[in-house]
Amino acid sequence: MKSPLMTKRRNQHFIWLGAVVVVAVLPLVFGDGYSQTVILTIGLYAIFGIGLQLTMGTGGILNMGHAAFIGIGAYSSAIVTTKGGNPWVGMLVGIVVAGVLAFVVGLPILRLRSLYLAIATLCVALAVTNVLGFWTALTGGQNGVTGIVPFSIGDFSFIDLPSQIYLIWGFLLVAVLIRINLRYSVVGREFEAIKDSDLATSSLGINHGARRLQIFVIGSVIGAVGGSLYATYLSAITPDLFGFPFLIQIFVLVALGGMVSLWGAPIGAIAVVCLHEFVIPVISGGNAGPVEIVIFGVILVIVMIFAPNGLTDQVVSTTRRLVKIARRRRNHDEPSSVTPASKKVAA
Amino acid sequence: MDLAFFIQLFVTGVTTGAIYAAVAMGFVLVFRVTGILNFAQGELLMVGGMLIISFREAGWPLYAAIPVTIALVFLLGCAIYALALGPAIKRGTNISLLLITLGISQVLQGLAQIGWGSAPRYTGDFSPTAHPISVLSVSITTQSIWILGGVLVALGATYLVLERTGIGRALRASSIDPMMARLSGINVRMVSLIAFGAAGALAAVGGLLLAPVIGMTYATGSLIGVKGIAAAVIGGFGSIPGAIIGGIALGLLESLASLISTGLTTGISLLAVVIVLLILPNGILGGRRVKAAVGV
Amino acid sequence: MSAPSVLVDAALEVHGITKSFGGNHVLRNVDMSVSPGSLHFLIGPNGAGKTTLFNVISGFIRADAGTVSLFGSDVTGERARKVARQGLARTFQNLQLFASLTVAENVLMALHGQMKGGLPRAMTGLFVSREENREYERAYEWLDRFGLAKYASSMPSDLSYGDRRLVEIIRAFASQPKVVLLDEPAAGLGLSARANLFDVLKELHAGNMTIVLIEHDMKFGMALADEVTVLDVGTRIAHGTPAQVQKDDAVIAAYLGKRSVADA
Ligand SMILES: Nc1ncnc2c1ncn2[C@@H]1O[C@H](COP(=O)(O)OP(=O)(O)OP(=O)(O)O)[C@@H](O)[C@H]1O
Ligand SMILES: [Mg+2]
Repeated sequence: MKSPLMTKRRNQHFIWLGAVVVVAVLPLVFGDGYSQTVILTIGLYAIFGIGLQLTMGTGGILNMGHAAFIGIGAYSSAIVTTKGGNPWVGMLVGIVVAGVLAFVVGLPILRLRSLYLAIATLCVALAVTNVLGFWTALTGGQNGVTGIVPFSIGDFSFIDLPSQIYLIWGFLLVAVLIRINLRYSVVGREFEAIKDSDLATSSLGINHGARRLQIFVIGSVIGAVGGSLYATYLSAITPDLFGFPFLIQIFVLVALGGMVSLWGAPIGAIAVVCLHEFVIPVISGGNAGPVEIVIFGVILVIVMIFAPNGLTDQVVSTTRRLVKIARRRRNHDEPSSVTPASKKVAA
Repeated sequence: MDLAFFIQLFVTGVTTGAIYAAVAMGFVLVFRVTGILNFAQGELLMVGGMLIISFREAGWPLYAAIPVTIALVFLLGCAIYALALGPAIKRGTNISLLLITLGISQVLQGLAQIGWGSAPRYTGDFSPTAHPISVLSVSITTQSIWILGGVLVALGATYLVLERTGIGRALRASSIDPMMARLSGINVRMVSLIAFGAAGALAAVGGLLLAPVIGMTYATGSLIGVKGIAAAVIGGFGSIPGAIIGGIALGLLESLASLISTGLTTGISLLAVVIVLLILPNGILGGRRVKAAVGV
Repeated sequence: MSAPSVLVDAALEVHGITKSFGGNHVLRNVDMSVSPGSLHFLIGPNGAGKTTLFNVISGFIRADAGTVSLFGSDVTGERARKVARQGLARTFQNLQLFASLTVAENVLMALHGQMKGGLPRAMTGLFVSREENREYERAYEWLDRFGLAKYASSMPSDLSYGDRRLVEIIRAFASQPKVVLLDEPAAGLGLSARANLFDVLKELHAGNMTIVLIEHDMKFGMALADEVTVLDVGTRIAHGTPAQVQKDDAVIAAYLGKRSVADA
């Protein structure tokens, strides 16, 4: 018997291969620098989004600290490379620091109620930005770090835009692949189950505290990798890049792309970057900052009211339900004469 | 260092703490009744401060400006519930509800920046004097007295409403057991609306009293909001006396920390929160056992 | 000296369990002894504390006093997942299926404990492991055995309520536990579903599994039971064989005015 476990996963893998092809031709189709910058930014944001999706969507953790973990990745790269280190070492340092911090901060996941976690992660976020802003000797304080060295392999350095796009989208595709594998694995199934009924998972002997801690660490590490790529792309960073407005952007990204949808992060990233680049400058007429804050805030509120699991997820689940209803209709081809009659009686 | 110096520190700490207590109490009130952590609470304080500055600039006397400010922010709190959280609460998850309050805080910040600009706005003390009052070589500004008195009145009024009125009883009943409250005929939506409004009013009191002391900007609220959460956590996030004690404790702690470095105050509140979360999950008043929610 | 489990005379031994919520004493000094391989019927009027006793045994609630042991090993105060690892499975009074997993995957979840579920492997594995496929087939066989194989790839919401109950029960048994607690499995079922469930439980019980059953349908339970424990307002008022208990004065008194034990 060929088990149905494989088919869903196979389908996603095919979509993934399609995405690889699309990404390969993207910089060739869009030759101008501005388009390429937009594409690159979308890739970066999608990586940030995947990390947050994993912690919030998969792990069900109220994570207010994601921007801080991205900042850790960025600053690790910045500090290591400006002190003469290899950019890959910088990324590795970011991964380790973010991973260890996420583990330590996440330990209370094992016992705290979910709301307290939001507070704990918020504290971490503030503490990290505080340190980045005031530990001047290491982080350059409010002036940040400049002269961050780009990644290179052998003699080839990822400096021009197309090569940076390939680098960033390459990481993104790997992250998506990890997510696909995870989703359809034993562990992924456990996460689905935990969300549906933590009572039943406990009664089956599954340690969901440990699982959620793991996912928190993984999500944060992916954020740090994104941060590292972000820093080497910008080549100069300041602490306020990783503050609250940035966090809100990623929340909006996940709200639009969906909390769990496998391709939600790239979709959300396209939406957020396009809003930021094309829509908001037109609406705001010069005062972009506060207008963007208001617009993102309004989007977040509206989406979360009508689609608590995010827009894409809502669209997917609604479509599925409609299809199911339609199918049922076709199967029971009886005229529904009951309703009008009963209405008449009621009136 | 003499006694007067410490009394001075104490007075400063309690004054700051009173503001935190007002904000924390709003957090706790909303949380107890609706289970929501309202991240926009700090922004309500900011709006309160901004409004009183505008009213005073327009030449309104205090006895008009203060009640109108409180009433407007009360309505704003109600509107937040009626327009956003009320419709969301039935289908909402912990995460979606939290993100909604975050979104609202952003909207309020953005609108404040558009409406009132980015530069800090100032207003004079409510009872200006040439010099601070000096009692036993401890100097107290009249605004500190306003703050202490105002917060005391606000907390007292809240207490009276909770203890003595029908709506207060409904609030308390809903905060103890929302399910039972619903079964015994309490209109939980109405009660939630009032809780949001009351939290807004408390924040407004904090904001309008604080306005003469600091330069209000659109961003003032978010930091004080975090302090309010910290105070609520220290107090056990759930008990109203806890919120007050937590607020005062945090104010005193920061006042002590300022001896070492004024830049340290935020770090101190963060540290306090983390310690409390890790060691005393039910706050300084509660026990060490985590309340497990078991519903089978 | 630790006795080998063959010599232990109780599969599940509950001793002196006391639990109160606030001032509400829900369980008072309750004892219950379940022999290996028996079907133990736990009865009592609504609110007697039956579900609470299950929650205490399975580690979802910590008792104020008393001990619980499974085949001689003490599990008092252990957390639910630890108790589950020790070989205790249960169902819930209000159905707890995984709504976003298929029926077969629901059963598969019970077999997860025996699988290597390492995270690195989960993230990098492009294929379903042979082990996972094998366990899936086992889950499928469990469904097949009770006539539910046709629903293997359906979502639980597509099943009738009775079939959903069955899936939850199968999931509990599929984890190959030593003791299974069933909380009102027949509640809300129609006559034919009930008859079907009866046959299923009979078959599972014949496999020498130790089962504790809570059920308000007396005829249903008594026909299956080897032993009975009766709770009333948190106290054990009787225990013994079905025949003994049905004649017990205290039991009849407790049920008086509701319905007679014998012909419920
Ligand atoms: N978590 C809890 N907090 C407070 N009281 C509880 C809790 N769980 C149960 N109770 C109370 O304990 C008593 C016994 O409940 P329990 O669910 O154990 O009864 P039961 O015998 O299973 O009843 P039924 O046949 O209706 O399922 C009830 O009065 C109930 O209100
Ligand atoms: Mg029960």
